[in-house]
Amino acid sequence: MIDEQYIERALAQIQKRAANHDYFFARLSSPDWIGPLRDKGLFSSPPGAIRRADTISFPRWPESQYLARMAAKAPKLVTETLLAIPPTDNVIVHEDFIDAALDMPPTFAAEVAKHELPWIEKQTNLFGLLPEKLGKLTFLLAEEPQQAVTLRLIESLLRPLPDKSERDGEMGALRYPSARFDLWNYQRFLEATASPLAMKLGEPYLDLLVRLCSQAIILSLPEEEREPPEDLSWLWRPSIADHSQNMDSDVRDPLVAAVRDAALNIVEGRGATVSHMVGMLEGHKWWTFRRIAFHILSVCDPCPIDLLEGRLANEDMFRCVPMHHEYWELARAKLGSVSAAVRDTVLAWIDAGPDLEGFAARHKEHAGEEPTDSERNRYREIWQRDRLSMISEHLPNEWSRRFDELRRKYGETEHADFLSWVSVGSVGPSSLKSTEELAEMTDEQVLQFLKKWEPSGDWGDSEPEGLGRRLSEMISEDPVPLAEVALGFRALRPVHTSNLLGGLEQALRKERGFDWKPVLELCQWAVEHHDAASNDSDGRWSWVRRSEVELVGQGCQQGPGSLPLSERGRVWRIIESLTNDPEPTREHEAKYGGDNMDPPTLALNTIRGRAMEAVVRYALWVKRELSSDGPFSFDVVPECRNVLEHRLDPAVEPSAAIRSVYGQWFPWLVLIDEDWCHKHRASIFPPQNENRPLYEAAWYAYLTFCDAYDSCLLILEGEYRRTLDELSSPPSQKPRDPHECFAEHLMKFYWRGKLQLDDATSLLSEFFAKAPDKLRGHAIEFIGRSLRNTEGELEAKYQIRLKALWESRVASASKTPSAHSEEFLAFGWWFASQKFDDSWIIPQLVVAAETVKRLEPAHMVLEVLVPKAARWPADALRCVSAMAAGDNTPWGVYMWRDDVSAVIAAVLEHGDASAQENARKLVHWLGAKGHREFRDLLRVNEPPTPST
Amino acid sequence: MQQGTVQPKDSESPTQPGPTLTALQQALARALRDQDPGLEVMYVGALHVLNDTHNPDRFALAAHNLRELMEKLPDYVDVEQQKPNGNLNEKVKALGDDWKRAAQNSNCKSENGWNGTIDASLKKFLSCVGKFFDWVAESLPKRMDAFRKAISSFDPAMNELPDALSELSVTAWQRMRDFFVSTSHHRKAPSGGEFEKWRNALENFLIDRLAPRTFEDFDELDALILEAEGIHND
Repeated sequence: MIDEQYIERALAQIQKRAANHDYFFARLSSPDWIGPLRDKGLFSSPPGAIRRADTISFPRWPESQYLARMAAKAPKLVTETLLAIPPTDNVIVHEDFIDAALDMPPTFAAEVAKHELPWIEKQTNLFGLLPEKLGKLTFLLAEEPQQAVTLRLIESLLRPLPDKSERDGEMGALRYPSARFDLWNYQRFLEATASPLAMKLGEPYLDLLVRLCSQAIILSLPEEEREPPEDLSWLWRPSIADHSQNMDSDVRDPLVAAVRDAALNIVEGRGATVSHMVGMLEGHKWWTFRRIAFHILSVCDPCPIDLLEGRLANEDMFRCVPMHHEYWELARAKLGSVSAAVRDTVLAWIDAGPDLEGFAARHKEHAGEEPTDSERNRYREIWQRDRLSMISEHLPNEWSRRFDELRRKYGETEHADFLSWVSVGSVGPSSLKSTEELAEMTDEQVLQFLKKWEPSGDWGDSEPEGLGRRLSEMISEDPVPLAEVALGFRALRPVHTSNLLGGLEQALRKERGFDWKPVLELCQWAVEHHDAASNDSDGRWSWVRRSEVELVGQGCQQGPGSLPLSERGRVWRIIESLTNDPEPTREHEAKYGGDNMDPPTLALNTIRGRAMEAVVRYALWVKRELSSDGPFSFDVVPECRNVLEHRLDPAVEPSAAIRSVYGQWFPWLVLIDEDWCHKHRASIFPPQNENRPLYEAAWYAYLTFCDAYDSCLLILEGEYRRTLDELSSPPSQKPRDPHECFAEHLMKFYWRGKLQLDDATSLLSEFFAKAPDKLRGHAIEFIGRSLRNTEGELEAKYQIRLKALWESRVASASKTPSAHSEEFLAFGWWFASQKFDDSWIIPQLVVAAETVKRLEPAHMVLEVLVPKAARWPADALRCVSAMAAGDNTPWGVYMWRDDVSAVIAAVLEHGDASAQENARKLVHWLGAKGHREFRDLLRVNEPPTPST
Repeated sequence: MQQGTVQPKDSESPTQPGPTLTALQQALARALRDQDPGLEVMYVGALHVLNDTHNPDRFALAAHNLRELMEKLPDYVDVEQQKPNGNLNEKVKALGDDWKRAAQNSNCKSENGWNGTIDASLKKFLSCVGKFFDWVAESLPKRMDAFRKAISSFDPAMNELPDALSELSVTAWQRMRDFFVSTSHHRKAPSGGEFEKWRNALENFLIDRLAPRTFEDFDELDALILEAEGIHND
């Protein structure tokens, strides 16, 4: 027993804080503390599970960890102490109990196991290492006199539970029984224990497994169908032997395998007779156990002949669907061992054939008519072939010949021992020709091949998509030959035209040119002869139109292979035609737009949307091609202006998707004709409430897709100001938040000197006055990220401007710093950018860190701070201290431990006495938080402890 | 949360030299200042009074400051303290009115005092009394709860101390408080040595929580375990 004075001194230390308490119990190596500490109540309050919102956590309990460590040294004392601990829902504490039991002699371990049974019975989700540890415990207790305990423990652990899904309440639905732990662990548990426990525990263990398996079967069946022997095991467990066809969908599978293995082990290792085992299993009412009995007969050797003959010569079993697999497995394995009479009986039943009346009834039910004589005969002969295939090794000559004849007539059989066979194949379009094979053909051969090719429609056969993909790949690599014979595609299915145009568009992206003339002629023919209403049997003219608009749009881009200006007329006719495509219709937009897809994405996925984009691309193409011919405006491309203005009328074009194209391309519209943009600004971004969806579509597309161009600011200042009043109600548009993009625009304008701070009515000042903290934080973070992405030094004028911005933010926050926490938090990005002199940014960083006790991105901030700590020890320490204080996670400081250590070490080496003392205080505080890893920092040069 | 912050005033010309603070006292003064300068004022003020050996009432006066420090400390700690749900004065006044009504209307009240079976008026009053005490139990902040929360909030660990240990701290706190309250109210006249013992206890208690020396404690625990288990093994 430890002397009372030590106990008192220890209690005085460990009551100071949790870290001391943890440390003390972690360091104890003698069990002699247990009694005195128990007398002081130390083992009387295990911490419970902590539930917060949707999470649950299980705190460690140093006391139970200590007891587990002492279990081998003082099993009796530890057992008594464990049994006196009040009940707890903390899984981690129970795991300690199991650890303790595993280290004890079985007598004491059994006491702990009994104590744990009520808790185990209440669990529905044992996780982590617990299942494995409990498995070990059952094994430890498998010797007399603890066998009764281990059987109870196994029963508690493995008892099947009802299906956890909603199926459980449905009439007639099959259920999937669950367990106290997940299926993988359940399988592992049984795989690891079934055979050895069967050897140790014998038939009581097998009886238990049979009982558990029966419970699982009952739980799997709808209540109204729980009538033995039908358990549907031939569906969920097609083979009693391990097989890939077994579904392993729930606890029934591992239980069946465990019963099988335990039974075999008891026969082979404990001397039980096959007759006894088969009799015992067949005495249970479900098909599963009779199937296991047949399996045992088929694998055990030697086997009593009378048992084999009794089962093989049983016509009910011969024709029994649930017994099919195991009957024929037995026949395959043992028909050669039984008498010729039995063999002939089986052959006579095969000769008699299947139940043809049943076949006829099923045929009529499915096909609506009786089967013909030929169909009946075919069914009978295939049935016979399948059964003969399973006993082919045991056939007399005349039956062998008959079997060969049936094989010749109907082919080889596969998986005849299974009533159904599930196979998995690759799913995806296939092609008769590979890309390489297509490339080796002449243009004419390709056209002829495509003309003749017809998909069979069979599962797994070559499909149009597969062929098209190969064709497009080939064309993208070498577009010239097929571009020249493009007109030949008029005679082909539209899917091939679509693939040709798709391949040509990919070729342009790869900077491979071709002759546009025949291609444009094909496109023009297509738009003139096949409008949106035309469709072939595949319904794919719309695919052609989509491919056309993508090809022409790509052709307007600058680069090798771009469209020649000489084709301007034909190009425009194609584009204009496509701008009249009905897609997106109102119905289309209602179905696919809204919350499903934002307007720009919807525009990108519709033909008219892509065509409107092509209008702008077309204008830019003409502008580029005519660049040497003087000023440009829509006067040079009036055809574009007409379409654009026409579709600005909401009565003509109510689609938000189409309107988003104007916003998305606004800077380029300004580039084409600034005056036109001034004039039509209010039409593009309509201010009226009734046109709000159109406004949002255009404005949000502009904000989220476009960079902040100075020329646009001049035209759109009104729209920017309008947004200021809407900042408190964030839009739900994804994937990018328009208000965040708005903030980014303003930051860019400020950075470039287009917006000022000193004017209280400036866009920027009003933004910071009206935006919520989160959005202001985003703006500050955006600048920080941009600074980090800026290569080289930051020009002095930008430094001055950005410093002024930050200082104004600090001044604004002085009265209510908590209302600016996101801004301070994001300042870490500025520091991490390393664009400012230390003498300015380090004091600013200290202010930010001490205000919000956090900095983001923490790891980058620390990475940059560490090398500066020697020169700025006190400030670096203040930052680190604040960040550590603000870390409410168990992992934050741990993840930064190297950087935190480096800063502290630098301060201890370079700081003044005050900074050094603060560093030591921080180390002790981190220790109190549970971070023992900093202890070594104090080993050197520790000053004397303050004392009285 | 900072309530009733007492800011240190600019010092005037000292009439006599101040006390010489030990290293621990200096550390504690700093730690209290980090919580709030007002706490440091209370503590250092107590030390000044104790230092004035000419003052015959210095223990009571210093005890008053230290008791104030103990009582105010939870208010300065950043933990949510229970607020009274309602006003005690108003509740007492309402109960007084109920009492007057019962005394006036109940047949159980006579010149000889209260007698007889409880009648409707008395029953109503007793019900009001019951509700009042229920309200007191549920709604008034409890001093020890506040201390318990404050003490717990000083510990930065994610896990909490077991109740058996945290109650030891609460008990120790209560005993110290009882001593300083009794002394400040002149119910107790401690000797200099006795006062110093309680002051030391308070100082150590506070410095352990406000400016922990965790790894020094670990060293002590290591030595203690080594010694205890070593002796026992011998």
